[in-house]
Amino acid sequence: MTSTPPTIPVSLRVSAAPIALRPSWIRAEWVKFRDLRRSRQLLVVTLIAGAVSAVLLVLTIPATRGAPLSETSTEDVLSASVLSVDAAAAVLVVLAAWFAGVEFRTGAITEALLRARGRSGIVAAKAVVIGAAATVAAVATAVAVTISGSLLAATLAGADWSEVLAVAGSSGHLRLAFGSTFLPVIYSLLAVFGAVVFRSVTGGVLTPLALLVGSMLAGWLPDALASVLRPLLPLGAVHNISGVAEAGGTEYIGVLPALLVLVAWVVGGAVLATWRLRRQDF
Amino acid sequence: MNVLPSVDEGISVRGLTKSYGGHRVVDELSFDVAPGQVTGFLGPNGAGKSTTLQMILGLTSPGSGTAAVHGRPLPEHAEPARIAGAFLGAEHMLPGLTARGHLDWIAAATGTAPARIDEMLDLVDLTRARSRRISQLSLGMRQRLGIAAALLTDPEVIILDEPLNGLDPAGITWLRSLLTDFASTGRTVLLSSHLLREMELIAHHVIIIRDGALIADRPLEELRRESSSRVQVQGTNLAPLLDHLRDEGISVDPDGSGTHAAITGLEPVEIFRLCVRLGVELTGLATEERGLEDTFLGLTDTGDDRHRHTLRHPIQGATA
Repeated sequence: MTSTPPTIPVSLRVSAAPIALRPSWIRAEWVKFRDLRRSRQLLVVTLIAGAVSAVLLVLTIPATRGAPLSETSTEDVLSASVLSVDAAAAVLVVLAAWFAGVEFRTGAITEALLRARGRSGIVAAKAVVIGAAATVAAVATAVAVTISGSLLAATLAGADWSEVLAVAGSSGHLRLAFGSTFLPVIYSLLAVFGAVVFRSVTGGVLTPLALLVGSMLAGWLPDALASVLRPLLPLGAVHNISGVAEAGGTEYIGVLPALLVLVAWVVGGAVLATWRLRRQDF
Repeated sequence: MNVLPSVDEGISVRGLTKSYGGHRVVDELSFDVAPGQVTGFLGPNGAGKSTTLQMILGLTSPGSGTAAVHGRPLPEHAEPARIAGAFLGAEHMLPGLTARGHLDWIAAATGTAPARIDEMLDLVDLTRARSRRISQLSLGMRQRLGIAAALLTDPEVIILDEPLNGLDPAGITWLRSLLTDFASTGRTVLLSSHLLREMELIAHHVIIIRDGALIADRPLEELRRESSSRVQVQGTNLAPLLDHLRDEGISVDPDGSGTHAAITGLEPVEIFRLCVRLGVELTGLATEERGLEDTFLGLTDTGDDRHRHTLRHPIQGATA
């Protein structure tokens, strides 16, 4: 590898117009995502974290519930394993915050801004790429943890395979498993918006974390107040979709309103991030 | 003369002002950057060069004033990447991307044909390093990658912030050829640098600012000529000459031996004629070429009233 540049440059003016294709910021962000080694690594870590934590959650059932695995129902084993989707969410939040925030940390965002006609496209493209990656990773994790839970239920808990397959394929479990995947996707998107708003990776990580803590604190409030706040927070909305929120509980608002709540969070986050990016000097 | 042949070409800055926390970083700055030549943007550290470039590129909003690239603010163009390419520093790249990946995403974002990526990698001699991560490239290689990115969309204007950092002499020669070639096609080049000696080798025209205000806006040659040049004289007995010059109020700077002196404010031919008239025998007579750095320091260091030292041509249509 030589570090000496050519002394006579080749012709700079090209015969054909170099801008011949339709500009696509989504494709640009996807190229970055695909080319960066860390983003690929974190996707793999997401799957591993999900599968490993599924095994740990099932193996610790005797300690957490005070009953041996052999006396635990297949439904409980599988639902315990699905909790590990939250571990995947933690990794995906880090991935999303890093992907969006590293450009602010390094100053590379200016490379994008000076080529963009408007700044909103950049935020939207980052959100689309992270949303797609998080969806694929979360669904894959949900499948992986269901398989892990099924294996553990059939081996350590001694359940029949026919029963395990029936439970794993039941509407209740599928709703729990795939409804839970909304959490990593929504939190990843909020991490992107947080990274843009605060111009940092840390800001991206802390944004969904603050909402998670907010959900916990809202649970400690009096029922009248909690029933207003909890369904409006992303965690409560996801619990409605996954079926964790029970009718009559403070989180319960139903699936459709919960979906609208999540859409509102995403749209609101995108608008806020775009507004901040437009107002910022670089 | 740095006067635009058309208001729609090049860069036009009018009354540009920017303050941070009550401190005025850019102060009523007005200048034009004409196409067809390489224009250097000079100033000491903290003079406001980068802030000015960022305002021209639409990255920073001006407090007041305007910065037009090809007739309008860059973000208002339908395809800003087609109008201007920029390099703002090797650190402004994602270190985890490959060299190819860096150009790939810019091509995707701007709709640039993929074949152009290979052309640019070849232009900056990074074809063999295309798969290496930016973090693994030397500073000079990263500088060249950034320049390739600036040229990727075949823009009409390129703006480079400190592109000479990290380039070895061969790299500086290469960049000079590149920019001169680019400008010779009728396009516009504006580059900032604090490496004044290197800028002297590259730029045809210089804009110098200090404390955010314009100090000089001249062709480089003109600036050199207007700067007082010194003539070194050598002879066995210079005393009659030096006494005569002192009487005439001309600055002389003899060394301790009395056989060498530097004279400011007279052309060599005038000194020679004077020596003939006074019967002073010279053994040496040479012009001491002042570098741009000396001129630059002279402009930025003298006096408290910076506007008193402004050297510039009037700008057509200037409102400031």
